[in-house]
Amino acid sequence: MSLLHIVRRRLLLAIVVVFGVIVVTFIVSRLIPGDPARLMAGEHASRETVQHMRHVLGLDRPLPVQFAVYLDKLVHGDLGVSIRTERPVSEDIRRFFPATIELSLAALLFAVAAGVPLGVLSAVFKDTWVDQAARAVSVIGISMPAFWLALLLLDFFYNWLGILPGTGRLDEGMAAPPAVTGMFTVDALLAGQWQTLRSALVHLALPGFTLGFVILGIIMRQIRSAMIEVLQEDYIRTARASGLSSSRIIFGHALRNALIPSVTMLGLTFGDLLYGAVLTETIFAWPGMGNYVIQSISFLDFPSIMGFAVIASLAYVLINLAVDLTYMLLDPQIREIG
Amino acid sequence: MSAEPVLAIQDFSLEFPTYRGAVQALSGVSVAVAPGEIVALVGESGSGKSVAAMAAIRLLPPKLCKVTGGSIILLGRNMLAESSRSIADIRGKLVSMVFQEPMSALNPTIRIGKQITQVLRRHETMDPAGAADRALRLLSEMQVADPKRVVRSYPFELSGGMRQRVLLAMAFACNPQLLIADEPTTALDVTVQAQVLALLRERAAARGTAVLFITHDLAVVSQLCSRIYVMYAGQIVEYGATRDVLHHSRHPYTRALLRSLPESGVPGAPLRSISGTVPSLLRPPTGCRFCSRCEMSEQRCAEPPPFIARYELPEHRAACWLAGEIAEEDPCEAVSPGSASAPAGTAPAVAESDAHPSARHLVHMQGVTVRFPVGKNWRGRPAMTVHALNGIDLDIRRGETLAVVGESGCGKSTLAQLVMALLKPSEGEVRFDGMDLGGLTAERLRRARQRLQMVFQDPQASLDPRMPAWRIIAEPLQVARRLAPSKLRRRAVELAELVGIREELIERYPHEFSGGQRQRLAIARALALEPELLVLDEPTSALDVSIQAQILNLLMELQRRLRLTYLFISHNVAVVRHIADRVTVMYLGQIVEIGPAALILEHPRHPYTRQLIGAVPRLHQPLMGAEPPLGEPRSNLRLPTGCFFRSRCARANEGCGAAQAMRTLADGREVRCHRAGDTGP
Amino acid sequence: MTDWRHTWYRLSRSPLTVVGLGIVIAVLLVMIFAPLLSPYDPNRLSLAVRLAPPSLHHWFGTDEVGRDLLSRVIWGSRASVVAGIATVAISMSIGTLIGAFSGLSAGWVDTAIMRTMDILLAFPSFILAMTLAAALGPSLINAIIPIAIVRTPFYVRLARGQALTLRDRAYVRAAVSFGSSTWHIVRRHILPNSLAPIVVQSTLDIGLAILTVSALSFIGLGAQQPTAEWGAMVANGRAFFLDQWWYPTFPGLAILVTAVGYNLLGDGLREILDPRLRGR
Repeated sequence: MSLLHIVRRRLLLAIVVVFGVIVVTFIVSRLIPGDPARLMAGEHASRETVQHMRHVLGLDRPLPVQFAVYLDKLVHGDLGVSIRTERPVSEDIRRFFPATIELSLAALLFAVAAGVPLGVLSAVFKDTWVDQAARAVSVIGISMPAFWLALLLLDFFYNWLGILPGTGRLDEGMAAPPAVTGMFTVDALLAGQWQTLRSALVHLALPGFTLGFVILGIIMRQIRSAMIEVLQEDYIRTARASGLSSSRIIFGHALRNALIPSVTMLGLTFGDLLYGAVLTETIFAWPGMGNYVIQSISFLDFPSIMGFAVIASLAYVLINLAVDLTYMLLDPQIREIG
Repeated sequence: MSAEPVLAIQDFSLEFPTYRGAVQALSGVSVAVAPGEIVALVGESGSGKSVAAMAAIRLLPPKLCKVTGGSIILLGRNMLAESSRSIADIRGKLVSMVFQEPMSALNPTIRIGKQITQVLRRHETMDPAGAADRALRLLSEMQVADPKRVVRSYPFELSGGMRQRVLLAMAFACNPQLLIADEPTTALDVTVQAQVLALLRERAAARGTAVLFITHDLAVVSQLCSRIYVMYAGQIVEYGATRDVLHHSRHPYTRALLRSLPESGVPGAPLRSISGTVPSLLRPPTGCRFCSRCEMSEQRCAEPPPFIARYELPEHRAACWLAGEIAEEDPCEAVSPGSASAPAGTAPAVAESDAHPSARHLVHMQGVTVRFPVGKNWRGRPAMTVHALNGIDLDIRRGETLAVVGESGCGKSTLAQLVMALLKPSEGEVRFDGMDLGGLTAERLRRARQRLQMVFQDPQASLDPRMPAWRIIAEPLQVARRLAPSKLRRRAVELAELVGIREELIERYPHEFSGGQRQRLAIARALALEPELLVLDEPTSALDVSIQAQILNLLMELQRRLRLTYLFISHNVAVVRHIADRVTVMYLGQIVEIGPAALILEHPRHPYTRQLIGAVPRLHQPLMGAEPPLGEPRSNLRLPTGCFFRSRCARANEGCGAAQAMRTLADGREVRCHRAGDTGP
Repeated sequence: MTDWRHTWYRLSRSPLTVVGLGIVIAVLLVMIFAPLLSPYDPNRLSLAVRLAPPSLHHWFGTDEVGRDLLSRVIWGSRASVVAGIATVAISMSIGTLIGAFSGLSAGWVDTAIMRTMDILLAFPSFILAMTLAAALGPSLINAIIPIAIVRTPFYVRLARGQALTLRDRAYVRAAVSFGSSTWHIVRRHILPNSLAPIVVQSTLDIGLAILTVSALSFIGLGAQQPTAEWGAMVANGRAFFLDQWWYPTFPGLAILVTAVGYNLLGDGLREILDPRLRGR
């Protein structure tokens, strides 16, 4: 198959999926209980005021028209106004997302740096105590309720030992570095503010580890099973028969072939990172999207919930698209034919 | 043996611990390979030949096996005692190994050049440029055309034969003293096999490399190897010079094995197969392991037999109490009346009447072409077309066995599916018993299908592992005739008896049967609906030689009893010679020659058939002096103009530029070559 | 048909799997015999002993209205585990049938089904579950349905992959050649031979479902008061965590141990069942 054809198909699929995502979120937003018009107008508004609100919000128009309006607003970045913060949802998202991205990246880095070597070790020493121990770590990671781990770690390192801070992204009273990316660590680095950088890193440690621990389990399991499968292939036998050293075989032949299909899994971990962020940020009072969403839920602030769902899903689709395209470039069998 | 042997396996025993006990994979095996000689290690599946080879370079996972005795000395080094570090130094440098499946033996994500230079730089100090240069030279030495392109390619861009050459290049790269080849050509086409074997012999001789050649194919051994070790049930049963062992074998197993080969039999007559099965190696018999299947066993055989040498030839020994008493004659000569003088045209007694052709013939194909669109270009249209069949005119006569012979890509599998009405032709018509299969309604097609059944190549894959045997056999009846379960079971018992499976076995599941038994079950299932035509797609290719003989006998007997017609697809020329009435040879989707089996296979006329037959190793005769096949097989994505075989034919001239039509020759055959009648160059 | 001796042998080689099996059986037993095992009524208020630390009378301590936490954890197994199993049962049965049918049908039916699944899979699963649960209204049942919907596409894909692989096996082609209907092939050939990966996936999914149900309850969308459910208990206990460490710790531990059990068992089953299918 031509590479161009495959890429084209994938892009088309992405467009179809994005459209489907928008349709589904629209349908869900219409399922929401309660009357948004009444909510906006207030508890004691008169019937006429509610009717007027309904007209203003466009809720008295037929459904396809409402969808067209919804779509139009989306394209223009209008996600509605949050009932809780009374700001446009898009502005709230812009304000809080960088913190979540920072946390996610830190968690991912930790998970990959620890998970890949552990997965390789586990596969190479399969069925020995090394493998059993590593698998125990992996299973605990996958089975860990993130919010619970967060509580425990908070208690231990903050309450008991007092060596790590418990809330926020920076020390009390410290000013945020000049905003470039919105990620305090990167921004502080860019601005050369070493104190701020240090504070940001220290605050990132606990939440990052908590979130990363779960992802670690997932990555380790994937690497392990991919490695085990590759190590049974005939070409590994050829390499052994040629006298290549064990490390050359493991890293130069097995790991590289195991990593390529594992790349597609990276895209999926973004979903798990968001999931974890929703659960952990609130414990550490980390001012990111996860925290925001939880507060929105307890407030039943549907515009912000829906806005978050749309943005998160669209980002997920795009990240997976990028990952899939990268995979196509990495796999010679797909790349060379095109 | 004057010089120090390169490899000396001495009284070596190995077992595999399993939850049921230890499987005695090797018991007291002794093999010696002298410098520069080519030695064969021969046996059927389960004999332990591959295990012995892998053990020699410690490739078996240490957790899975246990050495229980003996030693392996390679060039003075004790292979069982060396550290893994030094073993890795030895592998690839002093001894290398090539395996059976070239398709999966190369890393699919690394370019060929890098895979070769990795091996070079591991064992010798070289800079990248020097290694790359060496790699190119190695590939040329292995007769790879355009080495520069191959070095930049990925494995999936190369054919099986090309990949095996690359693997040979890697094996020879650091000039080892010993090359272990485990069935290196079994997975390749016949003509490619001939090329690779010739290459192997020539390169080994030029470099002075000894070769330990592992195979089940005795004919290949007779062409290639100077000495042979025969293995059975984990033991060596006979060894000596190839000529001695094959023509004057002393061990009953070797003799029986040779007798069961199709080339040892009279075409059409039952082969002398070996009764029974290989004993389980969990608790092997204490005496001679072949005893239970041996025609000549006596009381003595309960004791393990010693190796008894031949009177005047101490190099030729057999482990049998009766070795000295076995008759001297050649086990193969005794039965066959001399194959060269077999009468030509042994067609069955089907009268060549002038009745209307399509009624007389069970299957009639005219002008059949099959094309498959494949792949998609960027606009979504099919990028390429596979031309599977190109203008086939073929008749299958009632009651005959028509064999289809050809190599991969020739279209024989597509032909099988076409006859089975699993495919529709892109052009032309296929008639079964006069009916045009393409024009039938769904209901009539369904009924017609019941008269055509198929037996597949891999007996394991063709039986559902989750169904008991009787259900498998009776499934066609359940689907087509809706019989009650009790009737189904009764019919299943009948069918099982027909193929030689006892009633008490039919409750078992496929994995509890041997390969030969599974194929019998598949045949029983195919007979359930009482078909008229049976399409057999390589039915014995996955079976051991002795089992193959049993199945061939069964098939011939069933044909006589049930008046079946067979379409027999195979790449094994010896099998075809034995069982077929007529043979058709295919190349790139065309029939190039068709006629009586003996005639075509003994005296081929089409240049491709000549190359094909010439490339088949024979047990007792040298290679038929064939012109060596030229180049690589062509792809069926873009068909050549004129004669398809032109680019590979040694006898091509200008006339070959025109499309060739089938011509009938005086001896009754049809050939697609305008030069077939010529005797000149 | 399984060779039990062989399965037992493989099991014994992997201690982790045996541990997993043990945990799963233990939790199931606790769930079934909750009324017998639980020392107190989980909803019994007793303000005199509110927020009591673990003691002989109350092994896990008590919560802010004096309910015995051990009893609540024991009864909580019913909510969490049943919810988890129900979710998986729904998504597995629906997903497998759709997937097998889709894989064999090919053509536009297959394409349409797979595109729909692609859209569902495009959502980060938890976000979708969360949104649906929020829209439906907080309750335990309204947590089960979204999770089941979100997991179904995985089974569809799995079953379809199996159907596609098996479709080319010789015994399926043989069945086609003597005229079997699609339904016959699915029932007799595809489903029995697809059991192994589906069983493995379901086992792993139960662990995941339990985690998700408790996560939804934690953020307020699942079980509501006074239902004893592990995630909800952790949420409640969070406010008291600094001084009464035991309150959220034990329910969370229960979630962890149960999920570990199912994951270990699922991983172990995969190791046992899969390589065998490949024939050693």
